[in-house]
Amino acid sequence: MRRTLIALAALGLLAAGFAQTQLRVFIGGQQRPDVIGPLLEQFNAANPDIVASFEVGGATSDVQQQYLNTVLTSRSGDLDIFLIDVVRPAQYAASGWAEPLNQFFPSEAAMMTYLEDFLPGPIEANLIDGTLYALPAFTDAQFLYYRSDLLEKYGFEPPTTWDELKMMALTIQQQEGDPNLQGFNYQGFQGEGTICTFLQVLWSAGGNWVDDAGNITLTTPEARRTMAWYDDTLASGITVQNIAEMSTDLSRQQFQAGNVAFMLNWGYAWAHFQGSSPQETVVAGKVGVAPLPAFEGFDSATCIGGWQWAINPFSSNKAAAWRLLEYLASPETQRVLAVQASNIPARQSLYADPDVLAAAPHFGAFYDVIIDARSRPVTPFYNDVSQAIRFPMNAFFARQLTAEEALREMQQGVEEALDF
Amino acid sequence: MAFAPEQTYRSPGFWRRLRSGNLTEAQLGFMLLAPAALVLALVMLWPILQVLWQSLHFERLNLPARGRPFIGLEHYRRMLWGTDMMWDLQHLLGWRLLGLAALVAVVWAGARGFLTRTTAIAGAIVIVLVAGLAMGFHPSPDGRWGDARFWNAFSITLLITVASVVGSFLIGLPLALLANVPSRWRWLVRIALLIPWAMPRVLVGVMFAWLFNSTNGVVNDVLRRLGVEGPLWLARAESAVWATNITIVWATSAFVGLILLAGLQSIDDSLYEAAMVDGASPWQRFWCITLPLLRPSIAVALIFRTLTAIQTYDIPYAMTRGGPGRTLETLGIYVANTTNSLNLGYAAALSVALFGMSLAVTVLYLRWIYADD
Repeated sequence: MRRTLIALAALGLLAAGFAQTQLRVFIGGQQRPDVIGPLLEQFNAANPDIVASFEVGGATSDVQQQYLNTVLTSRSGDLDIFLIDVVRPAQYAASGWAEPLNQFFPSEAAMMTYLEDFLPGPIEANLIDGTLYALPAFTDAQFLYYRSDLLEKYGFEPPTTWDELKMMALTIQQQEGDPNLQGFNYQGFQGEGTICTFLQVLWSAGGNWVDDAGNITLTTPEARRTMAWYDDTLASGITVQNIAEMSTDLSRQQFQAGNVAFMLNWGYAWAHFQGSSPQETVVAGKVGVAPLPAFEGFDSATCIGGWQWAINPFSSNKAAAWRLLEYLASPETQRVLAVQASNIPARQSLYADPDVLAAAPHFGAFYDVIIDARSRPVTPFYNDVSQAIRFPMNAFFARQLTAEEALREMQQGVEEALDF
Repeated sequence: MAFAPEQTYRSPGFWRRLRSGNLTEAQLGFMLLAPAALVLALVMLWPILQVLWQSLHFERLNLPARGRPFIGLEHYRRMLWGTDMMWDLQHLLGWRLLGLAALVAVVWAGARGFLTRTTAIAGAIVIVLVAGLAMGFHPSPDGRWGDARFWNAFSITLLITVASVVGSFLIGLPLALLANVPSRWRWLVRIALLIPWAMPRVLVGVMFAWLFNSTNGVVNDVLRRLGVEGPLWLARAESAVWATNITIVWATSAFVGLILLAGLQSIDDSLYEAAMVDGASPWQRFWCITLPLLRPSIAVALIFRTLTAIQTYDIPYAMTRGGPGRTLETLGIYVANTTNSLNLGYAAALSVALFGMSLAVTVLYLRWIYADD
């Protein structure tokens, strides 16, 4: 009798297990599993027929991508939804690694209406030839961080041109008389940040890496002007000579230790400066954020960053995955991510949201920068293009290549990467 | 009873012996090894063959429409010769070919006995070093010689191999001798031997990147206190090569030291006592007893050290990601970068090149070890 009961109970459990759809979400260690976990539990409570759980792997864009490379090359359906960097959707679309999302909308028009609330930059990255491959989870951009206390002391407003920035940095360095004080800090190491270091200044000189006809334009006067500016930062002494080893987080730490007057960096640095950081901060309350400067007569420009939710095309639960995706991209979820994880919202409506602004007042100031953020090269060969630009750039910062040699290598490298 | 002619006696076959539980010792040995051999074949031999096969195919995951056509040796041609210099004699007379020819000559002379083994090995090392330096560790501005990036990776891998193997041997041997001296502080030396060996390589790389940081690092701070302005270690190509090799030597000398220590302890003390009675100086004892008897241990240490050095990935990646530029992009890092660019066919060909280098070194060492047998 007792045995029969146990068997029946086991059967019942099994049946319940079959009735529920299991969904697996992949995120990186940098994307706050502590915040994503409760969000999924909330979703499970509201959707009794689905059990969503998550898996964490890697803590940088490169490493997360390496893991997904393995999963997707083997056409595994173990993961249903994953988070990908804003530079990846074009490659995912080409490789057939992201499920087209158009099918989940009643019509094209309905899809476009749904997308209206999102920022234009991330949508541009995810919408390829009219097909939607992912939905933005949150966004990011590079900002000009400055020491508001130092600017105030010398009566400066945040600079709008690169020349102004140089003048202010030199003045501050001379007046302060501190040999450890860097005027201007940016990323010159051999990683992903350095392609933004190059492109942002190139854009702010009116140039681009490619022209409308698709020709690579990296040996133009605008590109030379970009390199001349970086040469000048080193020659004038506003930037340290070891900029070739300056990684994104090293930059952030130097600013946080009070050693930098101006710095280019991503949105995450802000929370660190305010005290939410493993390192001590001496700049809390002394930091300002502004759009990047430009050359006289040109518009400021910044690199877009951020992460996107995509559905695995090899998943066998796509309909359920879409319900979860809608939830993850919803204003409610993005609000929680903004308030609890300081993730910059990808939905425009949240920049006026009282809860968000109460938790992160600086997002108001971020909006003007973010709305104009531009994409890094959108191509299935992004990794090759990125290497072709940042390797010579890093060699240039290491004084291994002259400006002219570096540009020639970039031109040749990008042409080769796109010649397939 | 007549003797049975020898040829009519037939030992029972393997299967019959197996059934009757009557295997010879050798057969039993093979039987017991079979499962392990099968597993090894599955997890090692099969992937190696698969990579070889893949290297003969075009396969780029960001160009799925092209499929996976068979392209023969195209990847190797691109890697070694490139597209337009196949028949260009002027280029064939470049440094690489000269170096390779000299290397082949020295190895051949060594094998034939025209040169002593030691001279041949020393000669080969010198040739490899000179050729590596002549080829440069700088990405060639004109990529006419095959894949310039491959040759850059090849030469930096060679340099790291030679410098770090020699370096770790020169540091590891005195460490082992020190750890073998009976003293109250021996445990301290032995712990010092174990710590670098037990540390994960990536951690070592990150740690030394901090030490070598040119503005905030300990190394330059010490130099500054001594009144010397230190170099911009990882931010300049030449000093980054030094810093990386120093780090690798630090991390790997301990391994060499441990193996040599085990070798030292197996040397019989009575040999030294006899030598002392005969009035041999400490230097003579070291040169005539320690070193010859240590040779098997030295060979083992050098083989393992060289193989791991050829496959170097972790420390240069953690320190500079293979930078500045491509200065420290070893073959291992190049393979990883190519894989991440989803060009699996070419990455497979590069892996085969890496595998070939390891194989060549292993064969050379094995010949050296078995030369006296």
